[in-house]
Amino acid sequence: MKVTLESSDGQVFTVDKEVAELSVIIKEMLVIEQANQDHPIPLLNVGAVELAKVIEYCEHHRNDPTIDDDEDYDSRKKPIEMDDWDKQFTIVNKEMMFELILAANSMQVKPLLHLGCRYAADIVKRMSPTEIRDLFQIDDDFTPEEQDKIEWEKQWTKL
Amino acid sequence: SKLYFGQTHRLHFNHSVASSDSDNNKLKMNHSPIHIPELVEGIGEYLEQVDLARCAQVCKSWQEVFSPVLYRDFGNRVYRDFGNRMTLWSGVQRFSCHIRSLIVVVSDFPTQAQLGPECRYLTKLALKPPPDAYQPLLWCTRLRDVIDCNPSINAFQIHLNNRFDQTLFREQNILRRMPALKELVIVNDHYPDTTNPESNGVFEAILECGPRLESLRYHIFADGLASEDPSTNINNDALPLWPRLSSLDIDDVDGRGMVLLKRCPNLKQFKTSADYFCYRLDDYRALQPVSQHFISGDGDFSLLEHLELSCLQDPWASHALDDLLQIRNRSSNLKTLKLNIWSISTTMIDILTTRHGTFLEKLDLNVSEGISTHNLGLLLTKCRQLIHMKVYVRNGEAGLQELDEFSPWICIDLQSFHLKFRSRSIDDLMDMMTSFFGVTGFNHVTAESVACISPERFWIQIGALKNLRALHLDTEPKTPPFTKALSIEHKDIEHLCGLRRLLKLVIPLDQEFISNDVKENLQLRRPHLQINHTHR
Repeated sequence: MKVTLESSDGQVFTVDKEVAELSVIIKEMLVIEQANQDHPIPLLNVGAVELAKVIEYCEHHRNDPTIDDDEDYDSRKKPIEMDDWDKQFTIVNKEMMFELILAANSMQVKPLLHLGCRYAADIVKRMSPTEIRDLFQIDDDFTPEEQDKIEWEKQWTKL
Repeated sequence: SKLYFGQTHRLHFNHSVASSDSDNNKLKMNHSPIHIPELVEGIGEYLEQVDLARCAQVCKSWQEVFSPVLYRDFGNRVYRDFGNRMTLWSGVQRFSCHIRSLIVVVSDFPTQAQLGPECRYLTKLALKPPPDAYQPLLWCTRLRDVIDCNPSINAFQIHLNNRFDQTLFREQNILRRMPALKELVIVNDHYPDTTNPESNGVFEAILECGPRLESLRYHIFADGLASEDPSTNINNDALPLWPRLSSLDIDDVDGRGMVLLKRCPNLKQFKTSADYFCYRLDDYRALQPVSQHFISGDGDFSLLEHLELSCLQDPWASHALDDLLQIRNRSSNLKTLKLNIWSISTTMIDILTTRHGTFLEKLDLNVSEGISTHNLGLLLTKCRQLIHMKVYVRNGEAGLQELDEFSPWICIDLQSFHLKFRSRSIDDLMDMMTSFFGVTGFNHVTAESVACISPERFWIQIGALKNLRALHLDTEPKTPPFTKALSIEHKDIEHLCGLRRLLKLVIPLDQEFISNDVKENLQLRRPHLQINHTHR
């Protein structure tokens, strides 16, 4: 069975139902709107470019076992397995990847969300606050006194 | 907390956004996952505390979103620098409302004032009072205050320490002060428990809070001497059952261990892993009460999913184990079995495959005496659900037997396979390797007989395990015959590259085993394959 999805900029995509159902939101929508499947499902926060990528991801992972989200955070902390395909998939520019994380979040595609978070974590890992500020173009809004205080408060992390 | 369409919450940042489309390295600030607290938490899962601390230093908004993740697990590792001791708790009070898990190993326990009044949401408390703590009584009193302020604590972990135990367990009754307690860990890693255990009140405290517990780990280096065993004074029938307890981990099945085991009718996980220090010559006898308990019908084995038994070094122990694994007239749900034993008898293999073969997913065998290829083959072909298998043969003498019948290799789900040998003789090893992989490689090569498989075919056999995700080949350091005989040549790479799911390869990375040339080639062909060195 096929379902149609509409991106925020009006582009329509037709995908297999089981592929679309990797998105928790779409799965719930399909249950609610069972009778009304002629209309495409509107995705107000997801642009066509991102939606195409999300669908590409779901197509590849359609047969994966679902992630159990009820597990406690200790077990979530262990790194998820990335296969070759996933690694290739994340070779895009940062902006695109961040857009994808937002899309995965608004559509609730859990495995893609985890993949994206890991990608984002890899970027900021080992970066100094100054480098992060530079990358995200953030102004330092701490006073020098506050910075000193934070430095003092954070000492335990360096033990 | 799910986010629905149009409801995506984004934090608003006050900083200006410079638009520089020409610079691709810079990101447009209004479109980044850093705006959504749920995602920050997700990103935080993959960051170390040092990284989290740096992120919290970026700006005020980042401090707001990263601090809860940073302070969630507030613990200090081994900490000895006296000069810095005062700064350890400095500034914590500002963020202590975020602390969920608190670990204290330092000599001075923080006062309520140091932790701040907002430290009220702890769920986990782990303690290791150091032997050099200068004021045990003060330490204990401060701890009690923290416990009283945090009724939500559900996991408590403590390392016993002669100077604290009596105050904490008998006088202050700390376990009773934790109404939500579900997971309890009591470990003694200082010395064998030779003091009279009745005096410190630890065991009594456990018995009292038992009915509330879901998981208990009790490792006390008991020396098992009956005269000092408080369980001799305990009337088993007078104690209530603990139906909630599903996971029990005890270091020895002495009298105390048996009292605990008999309380648990609904065990899902049972571990007993006596440490080397409490190794006793007659430990096979120690296992007998356990098997009797399960066989007699008092214990319900049918819920058990995880069984871990070790330190059964006496050959006689395997008889008790045979009994234990029988579970007469009961169905088995055993998924994980870890055994550290002297040897595996054919009876045991038989019991394992017929009684538990249906559900077994993880098998971890650590045996002293050689293990017969026939037996391993039987395990691998009859336990159809196996996902992980780890075999460590300590003496490495392969008890080779002729295989009289061949079953096709059917553990198609096998994802990780770990084989470790300590062998002095290359012949032994090669016989073992070739025969073993001869059996396991059968999913594609069905017509071969074991005798035909030569060492050169080793990588071909490996190449047939199409679902393999991790391959770990190990041997004692400096056994060149192994590395030479199984070395990876250019022609072997083909077989390795055919394993599409292989993500991790752990091999001896010396020139004898794999030349730089071959390694480079392999890495070129499979850029994402992680290759690690076995011995450090």
